[in-house]
Amino acid sequence: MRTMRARPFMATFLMATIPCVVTWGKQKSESDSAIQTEIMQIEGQMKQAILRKDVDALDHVYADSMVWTARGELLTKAQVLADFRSGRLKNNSLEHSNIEIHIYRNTVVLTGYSTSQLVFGGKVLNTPRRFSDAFVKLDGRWQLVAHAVTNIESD
Amino acid sequence: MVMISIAYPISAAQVGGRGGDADSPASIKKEILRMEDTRDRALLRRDTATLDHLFADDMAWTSPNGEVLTKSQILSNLKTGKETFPSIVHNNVQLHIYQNTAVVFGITTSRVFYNGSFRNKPRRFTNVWVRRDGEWKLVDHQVTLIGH
Repeated sequence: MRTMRARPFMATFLMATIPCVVTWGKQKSESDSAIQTEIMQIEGQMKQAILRKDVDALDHVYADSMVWTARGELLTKAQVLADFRSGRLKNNSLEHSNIEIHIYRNTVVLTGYSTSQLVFGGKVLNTPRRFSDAFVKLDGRWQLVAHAVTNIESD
Repeated sequence: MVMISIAYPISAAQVGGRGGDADSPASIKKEILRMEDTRDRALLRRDTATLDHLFADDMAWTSPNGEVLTKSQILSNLKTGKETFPSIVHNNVQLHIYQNTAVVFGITTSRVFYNGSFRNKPRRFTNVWVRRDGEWKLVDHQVTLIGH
């Protein structure tokens, strides 16, 4: 396994806002850097869509069968989009760091640390947490198939 | 006591599919459930050789307290007894298959000994398996406490 600093991104704002380390498996290929750039762009687009409550954009990148685990709840794509649409779930800020990307051909696992401030059901949530996003290339485009969030706290 | 209890009301979301028995959703589902069972039994027995084979070298493992561990840390913890699994109990396990990727998720009430104390609160888990060179490897495991 090789762990490398990310190459400079075309989207420089991403590099400025998301510290990123990319890990390549033994099957590193020339296309990995392109995949890395594409995934970081999608993450950036998802962040912007969440902040703008652009549900259509999220609908496009979330796979229909996506599973979303947060606050100990399991939510479907429809539930997540409904929560964003209704304002039950909203982000006051989106702060991600320690991003790592693991590339497995048509599957990518992105992990990171979040200090984003959320409002869920009227309650402000700002506990630091770890998250992972799993993307699979489906129908020629990367789609989010699983999102999991775990609060960082003592047992 | 060693106990494994896994309930599998499977709902497989099949996306794509290349055809052929080996790649049929039913075959992949069966294979993934076998891998999950092998992993659980290896955790119970602290069989690190089996786990070494099942886990991708760059696997990400997020514990219910948000601690992120590497493959080598997990294997080391099991070898030293810092972490053990006296029982494994999973429920509501579901499986989504995307050709060479499988997402397994469910609820666990497994009893886990870690760093001097026991964990047995209900929690949700998500496992991501990827098939590389014909072999399925666990690439991501994340656990989240229910009610937090």
